[in-house]
Amino acid sequence: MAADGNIASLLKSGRRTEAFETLLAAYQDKVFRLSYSMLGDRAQAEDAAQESFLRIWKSMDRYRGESALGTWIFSIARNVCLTTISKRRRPAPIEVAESAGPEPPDRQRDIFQLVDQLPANYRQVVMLFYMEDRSYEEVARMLELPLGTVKTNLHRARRQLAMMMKETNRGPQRI
Amino acid sequence: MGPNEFDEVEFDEIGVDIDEQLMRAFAGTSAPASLASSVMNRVRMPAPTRLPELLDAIGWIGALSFAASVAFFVIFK
Repeated sequence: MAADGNIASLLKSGRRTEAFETLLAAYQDKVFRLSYSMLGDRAQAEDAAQESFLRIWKSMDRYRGESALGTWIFSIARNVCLTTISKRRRPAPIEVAESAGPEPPDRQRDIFQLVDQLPANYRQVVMLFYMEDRSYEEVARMLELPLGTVKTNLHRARRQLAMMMKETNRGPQRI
Repeated sequence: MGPNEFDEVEFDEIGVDIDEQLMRAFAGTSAPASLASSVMNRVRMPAPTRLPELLDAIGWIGALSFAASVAFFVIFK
């Protein structure tokens, strides 16, 4: 990411707050999406993202640049989400976004319910893939998975979704 | 044949195209507008101090010193 070099140089020059503000602006969407894909709940994802950034702020001085900044940030975010998951009894159902696009709310709810029925590893990959402009590489980087695993999980998830849609007759008919 | 092309063939076979629905459901998801400001507020919040504990300890030391001096005065008067 282009901002990474800038953040690193700000850190080196001791401008910690400025570095953190730049980092927050550059990574807030990605950390939120990663949290949302793992937790399936927007409110919990926002809490987890806040907690992740606080941990980043507290440990910024210890970041020595051995790994890419993004890799370090995403590993903190994943750990926060895993802690959240371990504390709750069962995963929350995926919430329909308030700003759901042109799709009718019922149809939107249907697709969220279907995605929610997927195994956790498939659900994460599917959600993140579509949130990250269908980039296999970005999903692999954010979840720290091999590219082949991302492609396989995504393929299986979509096939499973398609079968579920077919079974429930929810799929849109091709014109 | 790449994975996407393979997927398309399979979806055609079973007559369902979920790609568009998933795009509509998840594309453009971004962090809530309040996230950055909430984080910065928490970052700028002063760290919890140990001042109350210190004052408490000083108070106890003072009280004990006073009691000791009174006792000293009474005993050695």
